[in-house]
Amino acid sequence: MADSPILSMRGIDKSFGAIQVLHSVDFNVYPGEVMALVGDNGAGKSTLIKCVGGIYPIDHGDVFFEGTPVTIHGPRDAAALGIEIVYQDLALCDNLDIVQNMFLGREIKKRPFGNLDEPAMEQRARETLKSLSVRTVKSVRQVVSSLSGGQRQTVAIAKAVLWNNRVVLLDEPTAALGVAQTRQVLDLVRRLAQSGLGVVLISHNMNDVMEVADRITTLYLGRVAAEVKRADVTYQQVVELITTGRTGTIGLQPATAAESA
Amino acid sequence: MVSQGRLASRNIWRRRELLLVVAMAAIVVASTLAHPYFWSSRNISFILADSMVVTFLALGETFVMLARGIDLSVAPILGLSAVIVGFRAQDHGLGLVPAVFLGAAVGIVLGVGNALLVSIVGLPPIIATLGTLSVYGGLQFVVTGGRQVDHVPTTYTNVGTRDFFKGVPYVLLIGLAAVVITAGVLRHTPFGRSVYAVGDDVEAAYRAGIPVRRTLFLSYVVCGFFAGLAGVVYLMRTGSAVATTGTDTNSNLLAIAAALIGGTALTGGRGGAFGGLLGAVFLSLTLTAMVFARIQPVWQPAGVGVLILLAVVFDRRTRRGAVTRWRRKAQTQS
Repeated sequence: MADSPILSMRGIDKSFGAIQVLHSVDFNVYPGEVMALVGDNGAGKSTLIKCVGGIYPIDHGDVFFEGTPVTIHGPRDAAALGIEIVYQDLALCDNLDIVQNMFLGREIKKRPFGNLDEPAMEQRARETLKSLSVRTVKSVRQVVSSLSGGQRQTVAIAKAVLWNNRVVLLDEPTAALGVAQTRQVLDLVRRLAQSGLGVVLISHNMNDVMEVADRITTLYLGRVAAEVKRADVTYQQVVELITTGRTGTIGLQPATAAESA
Repeated sequence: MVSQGRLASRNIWRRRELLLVVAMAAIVVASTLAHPYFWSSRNISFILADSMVVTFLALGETFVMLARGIDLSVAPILGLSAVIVGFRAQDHGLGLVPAVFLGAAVGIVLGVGNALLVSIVGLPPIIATLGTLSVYGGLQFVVTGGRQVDHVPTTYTNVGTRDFFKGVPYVLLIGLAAVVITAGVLRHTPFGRSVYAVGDDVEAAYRAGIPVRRTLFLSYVVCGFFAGLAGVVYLMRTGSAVATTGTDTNSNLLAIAAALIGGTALTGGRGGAFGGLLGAVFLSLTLTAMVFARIQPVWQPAGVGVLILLAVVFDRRTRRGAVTRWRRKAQTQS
């Protein structure tokens, strides 16, 4: 496993008005690994990934991509770096089909008129789904409004993979899914990491996290309680980190934890 | 490669198109049975030619409606274009080709006004264009200054009133060309795709990296452009233009009605260029049939209103409006 992070955020502060949501957060993503980002409701998980994706500007702190300092001002900057977020609400256009959604905003064009190259896009969409061993989608020309929750999740993840991204952030990818579909999505998450991507998995489900994560970052009330290797901690310890900000010698100092509360 | 989903995605308004064609056929048959003259090349040509002004307006309206907006100022844009081009033609013998460019330019400038208000200032489209409806309508009085256009060169009216072939007027060919080009832009360019995406889900479009502001801006400019062209077509059709041209014929209502009837939803993201054409021809056909049925012309605006309501009522998704949302909310809360 690589030890130098592909994406590294250091000392991130973020406030909404008078409310400080992130306090000097450090967050790292390593290539070929799944980094789980866990924390209770309101711990700042979603805010943090929206900062990564350029949806929210950060107040203070530095972002490094492959060791170089970068600034992310919007979704386009993040996309240019190869960072892709798969949101909880998926953000797919219901009126468009799978191919159209996967290429939305980045369509392949034909010369000389700049019209859309539908066969090329269809072909690449198929290849991408195939490379992820997706067998649940019948036709890549299905309209998204006709897809099930698991299929939508698959399309959203495939969209992220399509662009040879380096870092993919998945916000609660299994939250709305049944057992079989959860299984498929978790397999997909593992395959993403195996293909060398830095994967971030945000989840409330500890079973999912313990199963697929290589490392775990726990947020506690807007602070990082700990970044640990999954192999070094138990299920119980992770739960303690989430609920109290510390466990044994790992985690926030009692004073800091109390101050946050 | 024929793709299955492509069919599925248009299923909803394929059915509507079919329904429209059946309804139009029924109107034609009924009217012809009552008055054989209805199915004469002359009358058919008139109906088709008469729908072209509304077709151009509806094409523009299609862009803004697909982007979940609306433009209530197409009527005075048409009017301003018609009087400005009309005076140049009448007083200075402006040629047809420069006339088209001038009309388009007028439309684009006025469209930019709407675009600024909606996409930069951030006003709701209905408020912004209600304002410009008044402003542009007022400018029409300023430009005409008590005069009117009533004798443009015959080159204009020749194009506007003559047939290319029996029952096939020249303006229909121009309109068809515009519809085909527009359909191509909507279906086969990144801009067209963006318009559909923004209209369906602004947030999803933004996150996909689509320039939302630019897309909205352009859709209002395109709408103005088509309304400007509609002004030139109006001039070709009637050879005249006055201070109230556009607004006096309820062109706003007709344009929105044509787009709606053709299956372009007010809720954004669904519809297309051919719908606008079908809707415009349907309106023209219905209004002419009303005349043949000896219904007093004063009933026409009411008739158009009923057609709009029918078009909206038949659109299930639009009906899922306020009341249904409120009901669903009440259910989940209880």
